[in-house]
Amino acid sequence: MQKAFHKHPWISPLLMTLPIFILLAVFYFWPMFQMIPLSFQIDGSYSLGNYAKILAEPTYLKSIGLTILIGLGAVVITFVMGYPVAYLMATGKPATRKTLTILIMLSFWTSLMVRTYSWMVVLQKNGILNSALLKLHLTDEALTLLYTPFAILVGTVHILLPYMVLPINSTLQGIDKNLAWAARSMGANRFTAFWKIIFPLSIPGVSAGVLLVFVQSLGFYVTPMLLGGGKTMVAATFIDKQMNTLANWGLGSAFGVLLTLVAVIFLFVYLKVFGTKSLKQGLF
Amino acid sequence: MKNHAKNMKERSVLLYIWCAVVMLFLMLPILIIVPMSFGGAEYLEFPPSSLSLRWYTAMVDGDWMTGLLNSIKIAAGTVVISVGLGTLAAIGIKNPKMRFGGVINIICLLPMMLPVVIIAVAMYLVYGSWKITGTFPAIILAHSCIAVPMVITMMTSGLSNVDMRLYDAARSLGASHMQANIKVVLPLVRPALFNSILFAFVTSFDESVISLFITDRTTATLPRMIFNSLRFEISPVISAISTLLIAVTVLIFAANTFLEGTKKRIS
Repeated sequence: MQKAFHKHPWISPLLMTLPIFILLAVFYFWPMFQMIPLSFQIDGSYSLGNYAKILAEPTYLKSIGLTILIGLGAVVITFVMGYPVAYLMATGKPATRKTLTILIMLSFWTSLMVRTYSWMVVLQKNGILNSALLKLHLTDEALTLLYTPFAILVGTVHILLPYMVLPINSTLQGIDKNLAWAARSMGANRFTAFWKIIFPLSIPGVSAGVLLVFVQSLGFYVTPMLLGGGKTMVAATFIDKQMNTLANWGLGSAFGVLLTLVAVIFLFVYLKVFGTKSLKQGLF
Repeated sequence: MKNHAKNMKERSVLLYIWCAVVMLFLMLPILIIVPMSFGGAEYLEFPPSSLSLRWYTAMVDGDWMTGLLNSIKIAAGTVVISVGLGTLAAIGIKNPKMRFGGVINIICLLPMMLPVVIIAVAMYLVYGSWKITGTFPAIILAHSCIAVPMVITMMTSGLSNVDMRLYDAARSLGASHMQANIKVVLPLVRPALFNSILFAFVTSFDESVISLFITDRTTATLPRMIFNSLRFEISPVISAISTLLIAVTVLIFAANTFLEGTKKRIS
């Protein structure tokens, strides 16, 4: 036996990955794959009926559209908010860099429930934001902020912002600073040097951030349920309603399969363009 | 030149202001909860008009502590399984003689990339047919799957800094594959291992969606209890629980930073 291993030295490393493979196969991928046969099931027989229903019903399509729209909105907002932070985190004075890193990590580590709750408190009808707006006479009556798509977007952005900042920051830190200085010394101004040299080099980080934010927002459940009050029909609330309230397993599964497909296509395109390495660099 | 310097300064002031605004957006809502949790009124107010510990008493009196204990148990189990199996797999993936390392790596990252709500529903259905929903082992195994991507990422990147020729050296000196890994490779990745433990714990402790679908009354985790309570009302008790969780986060974070700092000074 020992000899056989020596002859094929790659078998033992492969064996080391076997336990985790079994864990994921049995408790993650097997349940996931069960959604596929289930999605073709209507009243005990198999057909494309559930998919046809989703494609024919505008409210269902609208809910997929809204989910993707909130995801894209979160991508754009986290990018606009996060890129400058990542940039300062990589290039600022040591004290600034340290402060920003600590704050981003603290937010990242704070319980998702706590963050969602805090936005419920801030956004509710007699909440802090409304009383501030009333005091400043920016509005005459309290606005309905909580239980709206707006609240979902705010919560999603708040939770996913670190996932945009951290990958961008890690690529920015890997860029040779002399490149920007070289451009400057050859007459480029600060902005041109950034736009032509630094920004293009940071694209792998940006794309990792975009991927992480978008794909994770698709599966958000707590935020639409609590900040959206479960009223705004995004994918998660829709699936929840089909499965838990209406016991409509087939339709809910078909919807889930479609949503997973969106995520997989996105991931596949990303891996084709940037490769695994930049994704892993993006994670940490 | 002077003009240029001034221009540069203005830009960087703008950058600082922007970052300060973003940081306020990140931290303010969380920080507002802390003083509110000490309010004495019947409802949440900011700033609180009177101070009391009534919400903390309510927190201790309720069954919140059972939820907390369940969460800790499940998170501890998740750490054992995900870090144990994840470390083993990461060492395998990083072995120079490994084949299919890239594919296995991608497979291990998938639980982070696929929509959580779908897997939660899928687990609910399939675990249900296996009659294991609501049991601690099932929840621990489910959470372990979700923690795997982080553990694998941290361990493989920690191992990238290890010179794998040391493994070859150990092998050529007569160590078996496992001996070389445990005695030579593992001690070199202790910081990554420590981070993996922390991340796996937090991932499970904070996980809510899967817990909502596959826990029951006896195994309900803290996030599930908070969620169920918030579905009906925005209760002030949650502000006390939140403050407690924020305090724990800050403590763990400070300990982690401190440990990393001392480690750097030593080495």
